[in-house]
Amino acid sequence: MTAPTEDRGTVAAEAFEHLRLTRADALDTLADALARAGFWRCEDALPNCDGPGWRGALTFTADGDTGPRQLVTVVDVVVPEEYPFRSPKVQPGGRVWAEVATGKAFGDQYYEPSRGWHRDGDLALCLFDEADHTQLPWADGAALLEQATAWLAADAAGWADDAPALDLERYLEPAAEERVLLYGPLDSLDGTVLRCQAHRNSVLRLAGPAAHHRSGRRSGTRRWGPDAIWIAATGELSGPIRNWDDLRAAVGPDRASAIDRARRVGLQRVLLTYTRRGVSAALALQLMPGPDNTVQLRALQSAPDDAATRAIRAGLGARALAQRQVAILGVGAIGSAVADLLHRSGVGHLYLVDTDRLLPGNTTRHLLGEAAVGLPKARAVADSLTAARPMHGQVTGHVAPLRTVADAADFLIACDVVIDATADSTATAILTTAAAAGAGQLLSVAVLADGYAVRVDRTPPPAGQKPLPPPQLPAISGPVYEAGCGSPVSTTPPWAVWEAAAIAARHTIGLLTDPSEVPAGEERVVVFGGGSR
Amino acid sequence: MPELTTQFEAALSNIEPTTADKDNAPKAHAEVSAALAADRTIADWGFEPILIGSYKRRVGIRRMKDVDVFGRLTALDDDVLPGTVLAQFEGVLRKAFPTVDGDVRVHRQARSLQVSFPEYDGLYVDAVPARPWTSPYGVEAWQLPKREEKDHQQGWQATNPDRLTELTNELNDADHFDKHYVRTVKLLRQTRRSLLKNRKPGGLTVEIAALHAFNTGLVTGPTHADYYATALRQTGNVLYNAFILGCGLDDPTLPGEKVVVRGADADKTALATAFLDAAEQAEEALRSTDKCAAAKAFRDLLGKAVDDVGDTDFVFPMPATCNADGTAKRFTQVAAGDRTVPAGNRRFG
Repeated sequence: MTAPTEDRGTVAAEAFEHLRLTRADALDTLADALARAGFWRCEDALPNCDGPGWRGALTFTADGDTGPRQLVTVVDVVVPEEYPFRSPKVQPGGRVWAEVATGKAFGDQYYEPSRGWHRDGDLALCLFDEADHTQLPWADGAALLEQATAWLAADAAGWADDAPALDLERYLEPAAEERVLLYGPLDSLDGTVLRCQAHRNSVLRLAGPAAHHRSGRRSGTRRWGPDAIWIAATGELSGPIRNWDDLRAAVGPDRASAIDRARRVGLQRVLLTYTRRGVSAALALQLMPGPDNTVQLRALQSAPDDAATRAIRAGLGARALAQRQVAILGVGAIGSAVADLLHRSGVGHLYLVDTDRLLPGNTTRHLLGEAAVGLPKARAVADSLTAARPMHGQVTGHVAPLRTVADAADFLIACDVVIDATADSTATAILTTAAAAGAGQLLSVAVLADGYAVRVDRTPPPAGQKPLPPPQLPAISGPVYEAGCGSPVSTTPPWAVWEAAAIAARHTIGLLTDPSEVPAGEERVVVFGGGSR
Repeated sequence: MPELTTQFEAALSNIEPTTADKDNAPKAHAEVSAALAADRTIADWGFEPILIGSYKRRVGIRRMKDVDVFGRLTALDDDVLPGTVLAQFEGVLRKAFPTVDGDVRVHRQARSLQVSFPEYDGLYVDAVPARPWTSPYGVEAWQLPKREEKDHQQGWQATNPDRLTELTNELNDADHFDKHYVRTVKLLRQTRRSLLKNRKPGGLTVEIAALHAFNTGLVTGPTHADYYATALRQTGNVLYNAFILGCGLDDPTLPGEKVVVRGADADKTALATAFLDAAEQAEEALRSTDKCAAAKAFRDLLGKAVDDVGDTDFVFPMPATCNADGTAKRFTQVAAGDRTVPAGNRRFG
């Protein structure tokens, strides 16, 4: 039940006040920890330190030529607006800056951090693994400083246990270009200049070789068009690319000079391929003229566009699934969702079988929407999946009825698994009989009692197991009818359809990859207050 | 241990002299200095004005009411009496700052002339004449008129305000105090004002006692709260020795000299006692694990001051998570290690 607007306003005000107090308390706690460590809050008295931050010195021990020695680095700790839910940034400074900033002389005791992989694009220390944000380790200010101190010690020691970093874009300012550059395999393209072809949805794709244009009436200076991109392979990178000097060091002086000459005649983009600890990746760069004849680099948004990149997201069993065939009988709400999941998962060939057409009422629960109303479900879903993921497996739609046990046996024999998503007693009986007779592997899936439970049944069940017992369902409530339908319309909600489809997809993939692990079935009560077995 | 760093920073900001006072002080100082310098007699006495006082040493607190012009008379003959000098100052200043609408702007004090500046929100300047003097220890210093009504040989009192400024800067810049000296003195001066109001001894006495306290090595940080609590304790000890044990307060600028402290003996005793009691409360607050109760203790010690809009308000704000009575508000605390993401970090969405 919706609360009155006034009540919701009160609740919201209290919630926001609690959140304000949460943040104020976290900031106070951080302030205490930093003050305890001898840090000063930035204010006018501290040079170039007028933001929401703190300044102080971190002392650590490093191995020197004559044994362990104490080193010191002055850092600014910048506290973000979103603290404590985002980490403060710890920015170290060089010795000259530190001596001006603190009014103290450090001499040889000062340690200037390297500018390698472990510093962000803004040169802040990269202190916390991006994946390790669940427990807000920086909410303890002392732990934050300990982490920064440990970073300095590891930096001084040369990062013996370095992990590969493939997101080189984070070391550069992003380009103003809003289009994303998609590229396929880049092998054998080193040194070529290609065209970036614009596509819909603000996408650029690599096309054929770029051609020079002539400019000027007589001289005929050959210029690169704005769509040209230079492909440059660097091999293993020893550090991030933050500027032109880094790029020059990565590609070599001759190649860098060639790129610079090309830049002077119009080249604006470079696609750098590299490896890091043996893993291949690419970095798209925009070249911009900087002050005093320098070249500035900006990171272009880019992404690989190939089957392998997609297959990574399909799950670990995708390679095996590519050799499998599955038939889905009944391409209604559950069948269409199962087809979608199996297609995404990498099944090599899907056969979709249904005679119905998509009606407006179907679109609430069906994979397809208004644009497909009136089309045969089987063919429309097949076309939709193929269009959505053309690099994935084949999908074939059959607008034909399942009439006989022989029809069922044909599908069971031809396919590795047949999924019965018909919720039709006759079809299910025919399929179950054929499967039980040994024609093949059947998985029946359905939502029960208008969304009370979801269930799959495997036929034949694995050796030594019996089929699941019949479901225990609640009493039938009043049926719902609509014009044109002789049978009542199920009020099953869309989420129950997707839960059933997900379970069916999981069991199917199990049957395709390791049948011995797949039970005789699974029934799950999905309404609150129920249970599962 | 609740350091309450954010709140101490706010308290320091709340007792900092207003921008208007900071702007007006040098103007008033310059006007008075110029008037005195223009007088031939005073000029012949070798008049060299300098700014002294809490404003100069940056230990002044809101509301800053007075600025001191230290009128060094480098060529003053030994036989010129203090009364003669004060009379000359008075004559010159009355002429330069005449009565306006019946309000007399120049008042003669026991050892200075006070010039009020209504246009500067009531700020006034104390013009103090001084003559050169060398202490028995050979320290080149100054003498200013003594408080006694009758002028005689004891009518001059030794002082060395420039040295006090130097000592202040030395302590504040010392590595081991890391700029905390001036800030802590401000807090101590505010504590005196909060606990003893307008009773003498004044803020200078507390400042000098604090200077001795810092030199004991027992005033330590690293946080504002640490410095404040330890300074209260050691300053209280210095004041106890000076006023209750009767040892007097050594002048840190003049070896062998004692500071002449104004005020009744009972008030001096009250000051020492108040600081020792305050030290007890501050130490207990620091030992406490109850942040709100600790904040309430510091709030009570530091009292109130005039805020930016002219209202009187507490200088030490309670943390946002505390009620004014020192109890804690209910809210969701976030600490490192909290499972703010219940499903952990191996999620996909």
